[in-house]
Amino acid sequence: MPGFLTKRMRPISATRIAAAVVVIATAPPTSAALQRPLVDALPPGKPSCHARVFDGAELAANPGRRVEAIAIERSARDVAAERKWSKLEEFDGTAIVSATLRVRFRGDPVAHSARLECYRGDGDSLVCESPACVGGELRISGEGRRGEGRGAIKVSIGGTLKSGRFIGHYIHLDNSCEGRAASPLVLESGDDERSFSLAAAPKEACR
Amino acid sequence: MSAQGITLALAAALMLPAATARAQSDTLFPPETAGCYVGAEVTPATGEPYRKPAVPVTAIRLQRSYPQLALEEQDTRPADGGRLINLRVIATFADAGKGGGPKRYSNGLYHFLRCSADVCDAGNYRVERQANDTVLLRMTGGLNLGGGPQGADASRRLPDGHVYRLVASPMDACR
Repeated sequence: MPGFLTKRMRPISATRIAAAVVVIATAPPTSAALQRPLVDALPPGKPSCHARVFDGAELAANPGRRVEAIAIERSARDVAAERKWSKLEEFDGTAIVSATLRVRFRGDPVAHSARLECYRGDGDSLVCESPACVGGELRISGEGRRGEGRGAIKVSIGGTLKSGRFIGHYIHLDNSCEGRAASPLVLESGDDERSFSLAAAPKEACR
Repeated sequence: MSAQGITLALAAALMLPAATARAQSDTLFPPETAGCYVGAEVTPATGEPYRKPAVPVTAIRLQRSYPQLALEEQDTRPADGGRLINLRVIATFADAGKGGGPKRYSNGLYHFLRCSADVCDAGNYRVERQANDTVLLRMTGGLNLGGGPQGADASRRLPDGHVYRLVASPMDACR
């Protein structure tokens, strides 16, 4: 026969158990808590292309601009790499997004490219490095616009410290690193080239 | 005291704060300031334990640019008022790129060094300020470096006791 304490405890325990079940059932799964950044713009399992081409008028208005066209592409090969990486445990700096950066400079007919491995940055952003030439990096964040600009990304080279001071940076566009006879080929932050807004585009725009 | 003596004393008093300010800016790796040092290995003085590396380092860089300064801003200042900095140590070895291997190796992203005015210490290596805009990167335990794409698992080690002399250089030199 149950005693007084047991009798009194039973309804409380049942309530607590029911509450715990509700909490567990409604809590987001661990994978959702660690959702990949920029899932709308760079959806897992699907290739993507974001591109920006500066027309003659824009180039004329910004004589200091070196970049004529810039694109970030995730091909089927990148998606396959991401799928493989997603099965690994993620630590700080573990790559979760694979992509290719393509850049064409003003007056240079050759398009330059770099393979990127991107890891989780602050908030909903990615930090991307060229694994061939470590040290350089770019950051990708969402453009944050709704409607027409939805799915657009912002590619930043360097950034601003809390004091407001801008610190420039670079990323290699040549796998030889310092092996070239001339100085390394890099995309670097300039006065007019600290960030680029890239719209979602058909894959042809990334070739 | 003559008028000339008074003038000199006054000038010295006025110059003192300026000299102090300059000394503060001479701090090793000052806050919010990008920096780059480039150099190579030096053989330590005779008598110290030293083993010739299997693959020599041909260039070593210490980079403190936007990624490192942004990380430093996120980190809380130690309770004792010390200063923490982040550095990217980038090494090129004599066999860079051979057999499809990595061109460069680097340390992890999130390692911090505790700094005084002249020394920054990571525990397993330290950077010591020298004269003429040079620093010594001294291994006091050794530093593991990784390279190449994710999954390649390429790694090298800067062994304990090895010393590298680096010169302050334009940021371009760390690319």
